[in-house]
Amino acid sequence: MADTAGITNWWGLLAAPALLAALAYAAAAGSAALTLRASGGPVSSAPAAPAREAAGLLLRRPRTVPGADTLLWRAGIATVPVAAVMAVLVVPLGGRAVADLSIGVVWFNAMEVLLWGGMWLAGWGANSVWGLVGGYRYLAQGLSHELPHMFALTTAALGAGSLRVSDIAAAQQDAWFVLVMPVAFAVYLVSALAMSVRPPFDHPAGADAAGGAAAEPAGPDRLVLLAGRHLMLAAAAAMAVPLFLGGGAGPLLPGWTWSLLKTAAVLAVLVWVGGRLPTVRMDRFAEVGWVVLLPLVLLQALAVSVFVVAGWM
Amino acid sequence: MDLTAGEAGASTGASGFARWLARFSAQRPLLVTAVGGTGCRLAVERVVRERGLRSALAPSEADTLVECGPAGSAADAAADRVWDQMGEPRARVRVRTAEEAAARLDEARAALLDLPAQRRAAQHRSGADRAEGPDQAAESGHSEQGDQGDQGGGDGGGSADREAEPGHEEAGGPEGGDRGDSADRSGRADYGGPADQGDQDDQSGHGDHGGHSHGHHGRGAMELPGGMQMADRGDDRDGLKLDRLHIEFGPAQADWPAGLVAELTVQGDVVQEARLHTYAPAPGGAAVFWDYEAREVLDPAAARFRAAAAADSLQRFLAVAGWAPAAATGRLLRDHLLDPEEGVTGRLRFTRWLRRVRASRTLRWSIRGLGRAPDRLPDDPSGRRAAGGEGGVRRPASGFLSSGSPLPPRLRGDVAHRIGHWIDDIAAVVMPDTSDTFLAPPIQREPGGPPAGGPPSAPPFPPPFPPLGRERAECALAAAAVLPGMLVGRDLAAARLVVASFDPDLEALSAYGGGAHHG
Repeated sequence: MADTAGITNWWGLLAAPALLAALAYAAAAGSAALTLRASGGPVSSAPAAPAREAAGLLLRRPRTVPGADTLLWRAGIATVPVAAVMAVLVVPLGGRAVADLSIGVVWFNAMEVLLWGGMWLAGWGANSVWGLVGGYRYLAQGLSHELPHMFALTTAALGAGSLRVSDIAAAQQDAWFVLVMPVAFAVYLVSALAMSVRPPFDHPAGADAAGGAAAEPAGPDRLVLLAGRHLMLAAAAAMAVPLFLGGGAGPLLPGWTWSLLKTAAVLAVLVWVGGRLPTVRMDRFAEVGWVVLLPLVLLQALAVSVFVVAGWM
Repeated sequence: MDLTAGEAGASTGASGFARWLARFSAQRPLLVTAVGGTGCRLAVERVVRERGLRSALAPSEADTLVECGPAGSAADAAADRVWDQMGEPRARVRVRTAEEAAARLDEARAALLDLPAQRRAAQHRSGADRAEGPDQAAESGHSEQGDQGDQGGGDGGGSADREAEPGHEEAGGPEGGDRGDSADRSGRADYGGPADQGDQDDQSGHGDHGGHSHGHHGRGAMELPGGMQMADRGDDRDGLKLDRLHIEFGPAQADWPAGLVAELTVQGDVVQEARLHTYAPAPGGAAVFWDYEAREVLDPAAARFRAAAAADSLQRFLAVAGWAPAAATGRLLRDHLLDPEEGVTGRLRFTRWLRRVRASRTLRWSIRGLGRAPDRLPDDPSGRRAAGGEGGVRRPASGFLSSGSPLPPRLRGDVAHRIGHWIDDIAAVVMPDTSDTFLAPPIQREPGGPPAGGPPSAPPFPPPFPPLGRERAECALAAAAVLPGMLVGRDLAAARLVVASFDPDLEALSAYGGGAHHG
């Protein structure tokens, strides 16, 4: 793994977005299946449901809203999938990432902060009260999930003594980090849902505000925004594998298969949890983020630091 | 991504690819329900559910506008605004009776698949927009209003006061008297441009509105692109000078009581002022769907019907609370309860759902302490003012709730209390042999709160069994009186949850409230 470090994997530049898109599609189909099953509708139509929605959106004329800052609006919408794809570039599949940067963890975090700007502009740029409310909700929610998220990432990096994602995966030869730092893993999953505006943290795109940040984009714009949310969820699930689940480690099957399987499993858990819970309003989530998650993950970081200093890791 | 290909296909015309996309795409209806259209709404929702479709939250995602209920009510104007916000391909149908729901949706689907006609309509529309200058368009009402109303998202009117509201003259002008009153409200005509006036003077009588309607353009406020005006400012609760926006919830909002409009003045997303309006039903169209006269103390059919009404209210609440799968099961249960052939008692799917909703810690935590209702109705005249004064909900003369009388038991307490009554109503049918504390803790009711309405198995009314509709009308009237005061100081999310926990039935109010609307 160390020998591939720093070498850009050009072939992967095509494969990574394609795999990410496939995972994102599966997540969308999974949540469609959950809702269809709950409504007693035809569950067999779930695999095609996201494609059918996308087809309708492609046909629709994109709208312009008077007074909308179209440039920033569209830029914000486009940022969402772009940030997701850029974030996944540092995630190794098996042992190989597209770009195994020495600061991979920081890169991932930076891309996901880019999402803040994207979602905010997508809401604000529409010059709509619902979009504005949705954008603000995303910022408020981001303030609550971002610090716990960063400390969860830091804790994993701390355990491996490196910010390179493949080093973190390699450091889990003996014990997966999910066992060593379960709190950091749980916080990571919570923030993965929150950053990709997925239920139960979908308040920024809430049904109570006519779709919030997603209220105004129509047609292809809307498709890009919705796809971007699912891509970000898939990217976050993929990143959980090298950070906490041993990367490509596993018996019999090759490393890339294990990476994909673990990613799919994390994604399935995230989608399933989203269907089980009502939306957590951002004002309530702020309470949890600051009063519960942040102290917990700080204690986790402290514990891992002690392990490292004591030489147990 | 086939993005560019798709756009090209749509814009160059009915290429084979576009036709294929159109056939493959899923229909996405947006429902606008008139007062008196509940039966039609339920039928449409049932078809949507059975076909595995999803209803739209906002015009931006909808391709089919479904108007439920009779034409001629004030909801038509709202539907017009929503229609103008939808991009082609689009279709618009009205469902007048429950039986024709599926046929009407098919009709709309056929119109959506006719791509050449859709393209012609799109060209015609953009041509019309271009022909009218911005000023003319602003005067001419709806065609332009739709575009400006784009800000409104779900209700089609959310933007109203940041812009010089067109459609004024049309809505507010010629009609006088009470019918005009409601049409005027529906047109969102009252508080168009001069936000400052709306703020300080919003209790002003109805007669002023005509005056406003001509004074809008060029009031000296800064004009923004699109002919909108800057928001005005005011002190917020923290003493900051913040923009004040005037927005509306309803009447075309998803999961919102039919015929209710909440005019809100917000700073950020905190409600500073709230007024409620109700839409009158179309003449002769005041069919009350949720009405049933129990024949005996424990009439099983009455209990089942009551549970169906509760399931409908509960599923809307769950949808507002952002719990889509649970709301979907609620709709399924409601449809089963309304179909006498379907067994519901003890069915695992529903008992499990009921327990999950009732025991959900997240839901309980999310609504903890939210929306505690006052014990009594506000006194007249303050009550009338709170409820919207002249333009608000009228109170019938006698024989009904009067000001200062205690709130109906079902409305007392907080949000958890109120949805707890629905859960009890449903449990009485779905899980009749279990006590409600045995399998799952009930939705937590705060200690010290007023007592709940009684055990769930008790007969809902003492003899001589007033019809369900009358009870719902009383609740709707009380809700309209107390709601404005309860919304102030809440953020929009909480405000929606509070309204959803009352779910006032304005159909029942218009039928049983006597001259509620016509003074």
